[in-house]
Amino acid sequence: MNFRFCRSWEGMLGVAILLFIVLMAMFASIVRPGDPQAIVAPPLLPPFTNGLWPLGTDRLGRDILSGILHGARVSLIISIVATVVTVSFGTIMGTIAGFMGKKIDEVIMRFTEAFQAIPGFILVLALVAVLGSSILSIIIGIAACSWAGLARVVRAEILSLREREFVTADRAIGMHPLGIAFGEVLPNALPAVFAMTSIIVASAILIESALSFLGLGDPNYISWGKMVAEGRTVLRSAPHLSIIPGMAIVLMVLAVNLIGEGIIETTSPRRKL
Amino acid sequence: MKRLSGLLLRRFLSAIPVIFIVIVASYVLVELAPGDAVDTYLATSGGDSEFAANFRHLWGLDQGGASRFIAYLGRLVTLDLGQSLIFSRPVLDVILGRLPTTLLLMGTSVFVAFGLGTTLGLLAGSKPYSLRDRVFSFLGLVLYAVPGFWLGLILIIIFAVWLNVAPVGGFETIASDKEGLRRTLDIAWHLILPVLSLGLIYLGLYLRLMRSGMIDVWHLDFIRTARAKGLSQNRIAINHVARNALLPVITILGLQLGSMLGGSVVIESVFSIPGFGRLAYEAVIQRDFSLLIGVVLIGAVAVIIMNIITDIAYGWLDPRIGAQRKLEP
Repeated sequence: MNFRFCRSWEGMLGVAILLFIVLMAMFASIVRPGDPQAIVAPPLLPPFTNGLWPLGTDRLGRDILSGILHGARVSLIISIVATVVTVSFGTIMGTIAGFMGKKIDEVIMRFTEAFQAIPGFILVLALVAVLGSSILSIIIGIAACSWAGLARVVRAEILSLREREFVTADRAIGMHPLGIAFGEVLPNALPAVFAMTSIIVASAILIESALSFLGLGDPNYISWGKMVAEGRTVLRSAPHLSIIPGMAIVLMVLAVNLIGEGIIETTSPRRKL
Repeated sequence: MKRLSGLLLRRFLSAIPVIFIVIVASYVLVELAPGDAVDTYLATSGGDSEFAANFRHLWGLDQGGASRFIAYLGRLVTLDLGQSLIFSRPVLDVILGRLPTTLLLMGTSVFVAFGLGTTLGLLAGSKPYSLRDRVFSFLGLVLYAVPGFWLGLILIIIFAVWLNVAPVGGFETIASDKEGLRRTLDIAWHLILPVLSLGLIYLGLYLRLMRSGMIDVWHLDFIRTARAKGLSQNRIAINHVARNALLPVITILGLQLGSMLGGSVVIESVFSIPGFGRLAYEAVIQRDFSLLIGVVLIGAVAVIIMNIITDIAYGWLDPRIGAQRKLEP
């Protein structure tokens, strides 16, 4: 699979862009030391005119390049942690629902339906409003609105696997049902989990950016969504202030989607014409 | 028809536990939020501490968790969602007043996203891995990666600031006294950019779903049969492949309506449209928790109803649905 993934141009392009963003985040403090929200230059310098501030400055004289570099960190950290939380919780719930029989399955499925019925972004808004604007509550919000879809996919996979012969064999040697579910059945369902992971990462980035755009992000950190919102006040005279950080968001989400596309194209047996 | 009414009944029955879980979830939010229903009520009406204590007793808020929950349920049954802090009106009235605007915005956006998305997906999927397919697929991936608020701002920059052909925001021209057809056209003119923003983002999703669905169908045996009959490539693509690929897309359409209702929060904030989504934002910013929780509840109920409608449409399109139940023991 790894070798075939290298042959999909979508996957490789996605990996290249994401690698670039990771490097940006890693070297942010070296290339642009100091607080990205500090006022360092005259306000509203246009981009590509001054060597010291290559992307220009915003309404207050803050360095745009510094904001983009440091913003990459926030997006990466929130999307990675939120995805790990979502995938672990959704996978555990889906495995239990699929393997533990009717009653538990029924209860967990009703919960997933309820969580899918509440409009995702409104649930995040409500949780962030109640818990306060912090990175932790944003992560909880993202997990709350995306675990259900993953749990359903995992459950469907588990249901199709649980009647296989190797499960009967495991039962015959007296394995604990939880041991069979998580040790034997789940590993076979993991490809489906990986296929959905890229969607969860992408939506985590988009949710975080939308929250910061609305002024509900963590006020202690710079983020791309917040930069778009601040550029909005001078949209007529300096549209680049909103355009540049928005393009950073698009590139990052596109990279994640491209990787997901590469994985699907190279792992699904039907996709060979 | 009997098949569909049975389907409808079963869907309504299965919605009951789901709504109950949503209510429990909303109650957890109520408990987590600072202040209680009496605090918000007093903030709009005024009153001393004795008055507040009487109210707490009347609404059962001075008791333990279980009886507080039952009191909460009791108020919900009478459709009492509490008093909105910022509007000084019952929460339900405020929300119902805002819903039609958002349903109009969402309805037209779904039309754009689903109609254009499946058409482009059909064009891409009818010739998999051709140049046309690659261009459309990439377009779909890019649109799928664009944040709604940013697309909205870009459309404002292009069409309202540079070209000056569309309004920057709002639902209609304020205090214009327009009526009838002229008012309708005015609203349509104001909704072009918001509908494009919301529609284009979801267009990518339907394009990609339709395309990948079609690619999966091309390998099935009945396509070989259709080829053997001597049908042309285009007829096979439209009549056999696309029709079968469309059904899963409709399922996702139903599931995505909730996400779209959430997306309307950002789009309505960007274009200052006084709808349901903007109401959610106002509730959060001004810390009106009873309104916010009402928004969560009504949003979920709206999604459940829309899902039932999608299911009915699906059952109507696919004759296998509902009929298979008779075969089960």
